[in-house]
Amino acid sequence: MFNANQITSTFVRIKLQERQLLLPLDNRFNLESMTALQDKPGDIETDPMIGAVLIGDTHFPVYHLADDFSCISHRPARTGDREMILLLSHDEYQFGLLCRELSLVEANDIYLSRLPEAMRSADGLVEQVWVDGSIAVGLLYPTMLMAYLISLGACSQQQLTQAHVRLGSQLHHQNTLAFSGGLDEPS
Amino acid sequence: MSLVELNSSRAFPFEIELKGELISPLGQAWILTLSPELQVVIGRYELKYLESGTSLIKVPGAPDYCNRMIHWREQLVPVMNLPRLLYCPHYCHLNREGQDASTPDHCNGCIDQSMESGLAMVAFRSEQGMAYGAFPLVEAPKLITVFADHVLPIANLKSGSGHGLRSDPRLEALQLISQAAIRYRQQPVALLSLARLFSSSLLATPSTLGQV
Repeated sequence: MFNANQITSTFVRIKLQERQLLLPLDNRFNLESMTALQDKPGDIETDPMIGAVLIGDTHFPVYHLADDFSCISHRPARTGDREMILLLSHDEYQFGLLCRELSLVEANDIYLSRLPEAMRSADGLVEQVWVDGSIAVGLLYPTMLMAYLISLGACSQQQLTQAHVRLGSQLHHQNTLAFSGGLDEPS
Repeated sequence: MSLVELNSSRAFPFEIELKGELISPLGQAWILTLSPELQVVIGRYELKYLESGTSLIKVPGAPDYCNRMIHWREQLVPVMNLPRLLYCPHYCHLNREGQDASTPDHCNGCIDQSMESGLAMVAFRSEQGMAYGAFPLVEAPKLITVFADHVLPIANLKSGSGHGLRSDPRLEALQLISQAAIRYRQQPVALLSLARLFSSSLLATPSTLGQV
């Protein structure tokens, strides 16, 4: 069994709906709060993303996953400031994952066990768990998560940037039309 | 001939006399009552322990018929809700009475209810070696002696099985996880293949299980 404790000192622990997951942390992670979440460009309607985060010149499409890893196409009703976005990067793909809870855990506190075969989902994403009291926290490798999102049709940074450029162009065009049509002077 | 519900003082193997002939039984097995309507059979030595008062650990994202486990002797042991598997998507006793039981939580309640009678800890050989599983029980297990004429082909589970199964996919699911049928009290009862039931191979058969 692969021992993730040996290659990383820190994990990020996230909660989707009820399901909790543990992701080995490395330099391809960033953590951002939800406050920067922007609406998704209108012409990526087939993509299951719920919005995007812009960090510098990089757009991170943000996804909202259910416990069975199916994509939820809407933002959750805000229940406070607990929703967080975990940002992941790999090659040309950058993603954000909406989480109900998010925290860091030291590897020393974690003992991973094999998840019994009968309990594994058909997606095969989680094979090991850490039992924290009465809570089972599944180990999930970010690259597997990203591959899974891509298989669902997730968009790349390039596609998202192009969409934003097109959106910006459309908005500019509309503003230009509105201006050339004449605007009422404020009274 | 009816099955012999074992008297603990009676050692196995033994012979019984029937119509002047001595007959040797094939072996002994346990009847597990998993719900008021569902009984299954496992081999005598597959039942290892009875546990009670054990805390269940919920595993969100796991298949809904097996989304609880226990931490037992430094192992994670899956708890199989077989009624849920066979009667899903929304097995519960309310469902039997024709009431709406569309909330999955009802099904989780079935496990909690069954836990009052304990957990049957079973062992089987898997590809990784000896493995364990658990079934919530509603009654104490019964040890029976099985004779050759009690063993029936799996196909017998289809008619008059007494499992309360009404649709073919569920019967197919039961056949998939069974290695034979055992006649018990005039009803064919599934003799489980624990290795098959507790393996991930069930997930590879969505046409049978995913649509029940």
